[in-house]
Amino acid sequence: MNWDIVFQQLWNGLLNGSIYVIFAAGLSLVFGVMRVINMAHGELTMLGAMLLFTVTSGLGLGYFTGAALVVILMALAGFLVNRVTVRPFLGHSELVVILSTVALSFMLLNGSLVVWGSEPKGVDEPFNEIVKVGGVYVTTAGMLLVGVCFTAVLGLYLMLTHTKLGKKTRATGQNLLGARLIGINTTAVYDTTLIVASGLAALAGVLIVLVSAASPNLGQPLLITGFAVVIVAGMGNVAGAVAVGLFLGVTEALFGQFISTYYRQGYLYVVMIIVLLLRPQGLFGRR
Amino acid sequence: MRLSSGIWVGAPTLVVALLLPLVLFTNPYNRGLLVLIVIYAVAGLSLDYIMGEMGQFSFGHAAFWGFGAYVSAKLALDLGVSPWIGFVAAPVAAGLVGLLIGYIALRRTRGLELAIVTLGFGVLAWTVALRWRPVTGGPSGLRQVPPPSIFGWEIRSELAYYYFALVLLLVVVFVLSRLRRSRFGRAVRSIHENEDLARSVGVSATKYYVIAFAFACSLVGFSGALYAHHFRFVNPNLLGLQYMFIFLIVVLVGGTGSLWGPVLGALIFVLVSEWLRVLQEYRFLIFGVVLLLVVLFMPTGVFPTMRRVIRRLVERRGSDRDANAPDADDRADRTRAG
Repeated sequence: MNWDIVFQQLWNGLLNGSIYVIFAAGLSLVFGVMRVINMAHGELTMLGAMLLFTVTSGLGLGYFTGAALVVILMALAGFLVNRVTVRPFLGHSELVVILSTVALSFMLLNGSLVVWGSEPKGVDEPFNEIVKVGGVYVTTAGMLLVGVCFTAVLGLYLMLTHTKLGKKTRATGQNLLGARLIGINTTAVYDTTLIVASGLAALAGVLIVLVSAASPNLGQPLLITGFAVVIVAGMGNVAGAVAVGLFLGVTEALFGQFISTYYRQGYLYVVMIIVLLLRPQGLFGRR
Repeated sequence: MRLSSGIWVGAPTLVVALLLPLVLFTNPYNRGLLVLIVIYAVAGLSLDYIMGEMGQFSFGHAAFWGFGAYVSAKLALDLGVSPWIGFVAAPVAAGLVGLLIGYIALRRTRGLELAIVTLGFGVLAWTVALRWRPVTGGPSGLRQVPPPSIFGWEIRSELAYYYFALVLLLVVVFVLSRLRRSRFGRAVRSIHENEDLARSVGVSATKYYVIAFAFACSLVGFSGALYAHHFRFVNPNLLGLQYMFIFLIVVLVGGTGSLWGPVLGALIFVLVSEWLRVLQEYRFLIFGVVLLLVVLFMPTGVFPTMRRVIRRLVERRGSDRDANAPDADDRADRTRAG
């Protein structure tokens, strides 16, 4: 066996896996805290990528300034997402919120198609040197992607476990009424949750452009993949989503290399189905 | 809904439905829209059996719809089987797969978890349809699906197919109204109201839910077959999220828990998205806005809202004539809506 190929694919899988991780973490956070399936999460990522294209090519900002601006803007937009498409619908059946986020995703996707057209757009990367580590070709942009992903996820983890806000957030997710009774401002927690999730989604968007082009159509397939990850992990389990996202990204690349390129896309779903058959609540799901 | 009020509203509606293609929807394109309304209505009714009656949610419903379409199309194209047999085979096949998936999913998951699990199965089905080229024809799907024929005469025109589909919709509505009142239907609703209580009085919740789920899958498979033999093609999109969203809109905009809701929802969805066509590329952007507003102002759906408004008007007028208490049905509807 040629170990260089194995390591090359491990690296490629790490790139994809990092995106899955950061995407699924946000999706899972919203579900875990608010019990809301955010069907617009993929479009938030897409918007992050497209806005980055506009601020870099239109306003002439550099990659890092532009990315920081976009992530901050999108995080603030998360507040609006909560107030306009989630909060007004929470009193009704859980399905109504799914429908309102579907409506949001309709608006974002089709609005973006109007603004940017369906052609993929390239974004200038800050640096893109190819480095040979051992027998493996690694890009500096890819290293940036992996580094930022894991810093962000680690930050999310520390926030949830070590800050007062994180404690409030977890308490709200465990028992909404109980959290209110002990005086937690759950409205503020919901706002923050969507701000964080929207920021994470946009971060995924600005990182994706390091390895592929930005296009208004990138949201939907990513949403499907994100769901596959959270299904395998168990809905609402953020740490599980991170582990599973990474695992699936890496094994998917190995599967594509050594078993079948053609069915590579199907791999995720086959794993998902096996998990569903054995543990419908997911690997780390409660019950 | 009581039988009498059902007939008072149903009969004129049927007359209007019969006249529509002769009066307002006179060209083939518009008549095609009517066919689409009927097909979506059947699909919406089946999804509402899961949402309204079971109080559950299947995000893989479009996969069964597409599956039914593929089964019937495949039988007609490869084996030369008559579409009539396809109309039976599609619901049977979709029902059997629904039984299997329902058995796997409903044993352990409910509510939003079930939604996600069924989404997983739906996505897998979509991937298979896309990738299993020798059988499914890959991304371009299967073309030239034959239309059904009666006594050697092909039901090919939009007008004929509309009446044909309308008759089948009536059959579906009739079957559903009987089913909802049957012992089985009441057992399903009792699980919806309180699963623990239903179990404690000896209703085997999982068994009833799996059968009800399979029934809904079989019904949507039938709707898919209706689609395949009218539009005469099938492709992997039919199993995808796009149609899932459409059915979701049909049911939630129309209103869950009644037979009128999904039919009205199908009508509203098809007409509104057609009217918005003039907006060209802004069409779906505005559609999203409209959808959000409808959900905001009528969270229980158009039909229940309409019914509540009409009842209130009638009650106000009739209050001095006879002080009739709201009937049991009305109360049940309200509790379910809330």
